[in-house]
This record gives sequence, C-alpha cells and structure tokens, in this order.
Amino acid sequence: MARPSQALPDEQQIVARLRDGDPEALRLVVEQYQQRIFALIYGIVRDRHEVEDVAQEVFLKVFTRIHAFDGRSRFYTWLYRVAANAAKDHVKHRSRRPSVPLSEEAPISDGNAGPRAQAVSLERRRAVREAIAALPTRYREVLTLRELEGFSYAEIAEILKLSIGTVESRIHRARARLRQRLEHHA
Amino acid sequence: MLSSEEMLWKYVEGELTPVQASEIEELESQDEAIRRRLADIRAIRDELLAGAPTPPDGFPERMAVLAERLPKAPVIHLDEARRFLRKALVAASILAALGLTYLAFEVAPDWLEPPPMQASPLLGD
Repeated sequence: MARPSQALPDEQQIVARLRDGDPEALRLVVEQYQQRIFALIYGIVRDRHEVEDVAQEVFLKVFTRIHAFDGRSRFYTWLYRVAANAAKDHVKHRSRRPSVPLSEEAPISDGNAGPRAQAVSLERRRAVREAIAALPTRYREVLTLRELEGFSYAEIAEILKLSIGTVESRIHRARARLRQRLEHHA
Repeated sequence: MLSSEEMLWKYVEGELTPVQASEIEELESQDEAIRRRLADIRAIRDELLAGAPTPPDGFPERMAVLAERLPKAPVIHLDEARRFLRKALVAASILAALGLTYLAFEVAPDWLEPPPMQASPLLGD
C-alpha cells in the first residue's frame, strides 16, 4: 500500500525557502506531491475536468500561506489539509451546472486497474463508481485518504482536524453505504 | 474485535497477519458471497486509486512561473508580530492610566467632589 513516506528529503530547508518566497522550492514541492494531490482532489471532487484547477489553487495557497504552517506537524500533513479543504470548498461552491456524466469520465476499462478488478464486469465497476460518487463529501474524503495513502485513523484525524473516533465512524459508515448500495444494485 | 466487514477491508489493504489472511483466503475459496464482497472492495479501491487524472507535463514548472508572478506579500514573522503586539499593549495601558488620572483630577464633575465638612453640634462653635 502506498504510504506518505515519500516526504521531501530536506523538508525544513524547503519550507524555509518557501517562506522566503522561492518559486523553485514550490516547483520541488509540486514535483514531489502532484500525483497524490491530484488523486486526493479527484477523490473528493469526482470530476476529472476540475482537478487541475483545484490543484493549482492548492499549490498557490501553499506558496502564499506558508507562514500559516507552524511546523508542529509534518509538512505533508498540512499540505493534505490544504488540499482537502480546497476540494471540499470547491464542491460546496460548485456552480449549479450539471456535473460531468459518469459515462464521460475516465473509461471504466482503464488499464490502470489491477488484474483482479479487470475481472469484475464493466457494469459492476460502473456501479462502484456511481456508489462512490453518491457518498457525502465527508465520507469520500476519509475513504480517499485511507485508501489512497494508507493513512492510519490517527493520521487522517490530524490532517482533517477531527477526533479519531469521528474518522473511524465516518470510514465505517462510508463502507457500509457502499456495501448497501452495491448490494441493492446486485 | 474486528467485524467481518472490517476484516475483509483490512485483508484487501494487506493489514492482516499471515494467519488471519490465510483464514480469509480459505473463506474466499469456499464462500461465493465473500468472494463477491472482496471483488467489490477491490473494485472500490481500484476506482479510488486509479481513477484520478495524471498531472499534465510541466505542471511543476508552470506552478513555479505562476508563483513568481504573484505580488510579493509582506513577510510577517510571528515572533516579531507578538513582540510588537506586547509593546503596543503596554504602551496603550500606560496611556489609558495617564488619561484616567487626568480625568479624575482635572475634569471630574462636581458630583465627584467630596461633600463639604459640616460643623458637628457636639463640637460647638
């Protein structure tokens, strides 16, 4: 399982350079985290067309608001918090235009999926995608952090500034809802 | 004690002990419902892990250029800000104390003056 261990090798130095307004330090941060930040944003926003804009907003916030990072937690914890908050704000303030239909999203038979998932019927995978999209944002964000990075409940609690109990309960409810919906679909 | 559903998730996440994992594998080979449930969990995880778009080429460089174009905000160091605030509070307290003293002694209304002493009948003239 992927872990957030690929933290910046010289984190303190890069944070110091960000504080000094060095754009090259931002480039290094983006290079290191872009893939995971895109995935986290997509997990919450669920619209591939909007991910890049939100990611851009996140990294510019990191650059302009680095003084709000007090250094008491790891840098990536703060970065994930900024990204999760930006994605949630985006969902909240999303214009009322109809969102992209699921059929126009990434092809379901995406070759990135594992061999076991490819064995699952396309129809079933479409149902899975719809079930995830139907989850409330607060459930999707904890599930994404858990499955994407393998964060522990304590780490998710720190990122989202929630209690561990709340994280545990949201993950449990998210999984229960997915199960219920998929069983209903079957 | 983990629920069976939680055990299935942990199995897919690779977080069970080898003994627990082999128990689940045995169940998977025998029970159709467990097999279906595990397939769903794997599909959910794959959808979460693989559905996101890939960042475009040159995204980090583009972000650096955008950052460079941003107007430079004044840098506020928290320690300096705190020291300044503390000095400002001390100065404001001193000014407030001086102001109150002035008001009490110079522009106090008549009713704040102590009443005039009256001759006591016991003391006589």
